[in-house]
Amino acid sequence: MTFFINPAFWIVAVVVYILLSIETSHKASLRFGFINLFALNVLLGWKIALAALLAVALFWATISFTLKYCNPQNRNRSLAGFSILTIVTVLFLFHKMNLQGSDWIKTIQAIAPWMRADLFLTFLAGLSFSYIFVRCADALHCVFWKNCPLMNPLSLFGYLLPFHMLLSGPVNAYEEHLAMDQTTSENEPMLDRVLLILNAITTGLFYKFVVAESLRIYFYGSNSEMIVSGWSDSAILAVYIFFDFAGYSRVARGLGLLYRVPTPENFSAPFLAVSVTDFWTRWHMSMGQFVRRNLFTPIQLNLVRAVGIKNAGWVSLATMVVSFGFVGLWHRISLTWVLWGVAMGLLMTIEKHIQTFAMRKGWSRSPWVQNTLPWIGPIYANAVLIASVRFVAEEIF
Amino acid sequence: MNEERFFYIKLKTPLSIWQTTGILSWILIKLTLIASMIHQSAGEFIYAGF
Repeated sequence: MTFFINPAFWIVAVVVYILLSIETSHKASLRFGFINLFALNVLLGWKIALAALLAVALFWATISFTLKYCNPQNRNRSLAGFSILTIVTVLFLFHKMNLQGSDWIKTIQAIAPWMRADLFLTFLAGLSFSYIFVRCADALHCVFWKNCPLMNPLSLFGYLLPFHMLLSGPVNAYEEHLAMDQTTSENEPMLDRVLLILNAITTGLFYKFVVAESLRIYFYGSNSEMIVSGWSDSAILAVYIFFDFAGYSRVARGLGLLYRVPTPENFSAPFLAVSVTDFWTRWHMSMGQFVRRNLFTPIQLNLVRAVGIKNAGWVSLATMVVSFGFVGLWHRISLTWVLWGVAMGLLMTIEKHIQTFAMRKGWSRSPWVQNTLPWIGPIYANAVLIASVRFVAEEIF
Repeated sequence: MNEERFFYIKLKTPLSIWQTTGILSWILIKLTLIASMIHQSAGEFIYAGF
């Protein structure tokens, strides 16, 4: 899916901007949902756009029907929320298990050819379902457990499948998308704002098509695969992934700012991080925020309530391992990625204990620590990054 | 590499003619470099279809 070098994408992007600029009495999220449907129709074809709309309508109808019969005090409400989440999770697992062409799919096709399981997998991959899955989870958490209102189907379509974030995120928050109906446009000079956003979008394209691609062509040749066989390859791949993913994210965020559709930031100078914990607040930030909102905080609160504050240390370790175990599995359903997630969780728990210990002893105020941390920290964090890229390298592509 | 400095610019006053010219020139330079590289690029993003 060569979205950003396809002229049709940029024509659609401009048309969407013009259409969104037309003032109407309708809510901003509804207008974006409707125009987004047009954009997906042009970019992916009417069959895929219609199928995606019907899937979102089914998701919306299921939630709406459930909410109608479960008031906020009803204990069945949580059960209903978990049931819908389980169905979405099964679809996610179906998508992530690389079943295309497998014996399992061939068996399903032989038993029930009308199901077109092969087409369904292509459909999920074409929509980058991993991102839709986390958006669905965020929406369910907000509606069932935080009592947020349910958006109308078209607004929900705009939230779950925004055309400018379709390829690979970022992971936008349900509550932020809801809030776009309340925000009013600031009195900024419009042409200057557009110019600065265009500057950001072209910087994103520059990251990907000039920096990342030059790096790839210089080290691996224009038609070769990026194979990791040593530590230097891991370092090159880490830098390549940054310029590829940060470039994409900046283009998506620039378009989001242009349309005034909440599109979170994804990177903030990750190579300057002073620890692994700090690194994960700077790399794929929207995913980190999703994990904090929907896994880390709720699990930690419930576990502390269940086992007591005296066991907070063990709770913190378990929560961190579960949260990053999920991040690992989200990348790929494999033992390598689970181990990667568990190792990250353990490392961050160790860092937390070291930080607490240093604060108790007063070492964190020492001038020696304050002077050396800004350069020792990034060396340590980048060494961990390179080691982790080498560990999962064979399963990145 | 830090996105924040690009997006948290609050435009209280309009850009001067020099600032506008500078940004426009920088955009054009980037677009020229992108155009020269685009035919050599695979075009795919690493997380596409994720």
